[in-house]
Amino acid sequence: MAEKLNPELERRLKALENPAEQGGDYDSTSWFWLLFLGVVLPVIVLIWGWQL
Amino acid sequence: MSSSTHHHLEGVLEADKNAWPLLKSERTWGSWKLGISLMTAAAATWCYIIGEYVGYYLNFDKGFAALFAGSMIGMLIVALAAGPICLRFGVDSIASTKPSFGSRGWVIPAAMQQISIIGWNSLLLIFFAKSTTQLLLALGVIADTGSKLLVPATILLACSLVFTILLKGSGGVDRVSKILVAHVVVGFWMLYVILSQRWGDLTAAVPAYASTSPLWNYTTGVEIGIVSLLSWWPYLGAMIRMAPNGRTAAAPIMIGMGAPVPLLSLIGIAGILVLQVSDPAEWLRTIGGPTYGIVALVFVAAANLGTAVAGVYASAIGLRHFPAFENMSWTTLLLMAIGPVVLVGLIIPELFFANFGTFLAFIGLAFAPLCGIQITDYYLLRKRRISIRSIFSNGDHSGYWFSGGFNIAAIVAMIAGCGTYRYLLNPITYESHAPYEYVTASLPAAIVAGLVYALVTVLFNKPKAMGGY
Repeated sequence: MAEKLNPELERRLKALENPAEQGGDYDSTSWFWLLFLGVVLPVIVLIWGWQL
Repeated sequence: MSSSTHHHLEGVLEADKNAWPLLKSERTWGSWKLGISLMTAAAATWCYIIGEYVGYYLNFDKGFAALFAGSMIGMLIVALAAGPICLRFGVDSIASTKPSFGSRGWVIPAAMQQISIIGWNSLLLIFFAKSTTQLLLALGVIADTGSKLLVPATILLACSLVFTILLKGSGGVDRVSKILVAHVVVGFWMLYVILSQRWGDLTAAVPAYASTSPLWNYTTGVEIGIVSLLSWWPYLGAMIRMAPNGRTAAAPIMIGMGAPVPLLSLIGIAGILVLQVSDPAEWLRTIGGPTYGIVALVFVAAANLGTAVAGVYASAIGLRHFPAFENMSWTTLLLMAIGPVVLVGLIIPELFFANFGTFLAFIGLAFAPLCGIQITDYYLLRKRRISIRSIFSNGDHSGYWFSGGFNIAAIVAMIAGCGTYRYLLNPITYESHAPYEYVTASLPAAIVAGLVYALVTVLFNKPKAMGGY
């Protein structure tokens, strides 16, 4: 038997099952920021700090 | 107001105080708004304590480098783990664990979230209460005998303020962020004060508990950075679900939530190295007299209030996933989220404060494997295919039911990840085993958990068609 959800929650789920209504995942610009600030910059800072 | 508009607004308000997914039209925070909110949440007096722990092992320059690198790496791990599902479906961090932990197994990360947020909030409020007491004692406003009552009174006052601000849901987080973000500027002024007045002492200072191995000290600085930022996992989802997409959120997450921690932690590193105390309310008074002390205290109050507001909000939204709390009034739910903080602050403040290092290491022990599991599940195993309906379906018809609602792969992977961390770095004694010095403890714990998760999923879950893969 199908689960009975709160009508408001059901409305939201129905809307979000349509990919066009979903938020966007990380795109190429996001990946640039994530990888630059989370990988490249830390590596540079680690090498710089070790030499101090 | 038309009835449809009224109905829509009602829905927004409800979702705002609920764990329900937010619709595209409701997710209106832009990069700046999100960045400021994240900055206000991250920049608190825990930075001084984080800085203090780094200052035990490293000097100022190396301490900054290690902590900055570790923090940014930790932030990236959290952004990759909880970020995608929260951003796509407007849900919080706990909801993002259901595809990997199961329709009931999410209680494991939920318990971790509650412990983490209660811990951090308790720490902030105890810190605030201690700073207030110190300052009032120094100014002669209270006698020594009155200070015993002041700590619990301050904690109660702060909790009442957090409660009042959050009565209006995420709007409270946003409003308080706009005002309290100014404290970040004050933080950098404090850093300028100590650097300009004590630079000579700072460069000559020797870390108190440095090991004979420079590499061990450096790696420990990185590890402290990673685990500190891993503990932002519980906070992240509740904040970024207000943003419409990954592009809006990526830079604010890294710059707004990742970078302020190591930068403000410089205050703690400098304080512990030069004056053997990380609390700026105490050392600013030593350097600049009572006026500086008051400025520092106002800073501490503003910083901790903003963070406590964000923390309690995330905690309350996380509690909503429990069926027992699903229909509870927002007011009661807030009281439940704040209650444990009040109890820790009133009953065991000293015990908790003295064991911060252990608390921090346990965060790494728990959240590193969790992040490894989520990243593996979303990017490698599911290839970004997520069913929002299965996330919110709790019965055995849910795609994420696995076995009895629990995903055995996640449980085995958590055990393997925690075991790896425990082997590499003992969270209580800080005793380490090779190759900790070269790889930290958090990163291998996340990687081992991810590998074990993938292995058990491929060998056990997929053949039995469990988990909606």
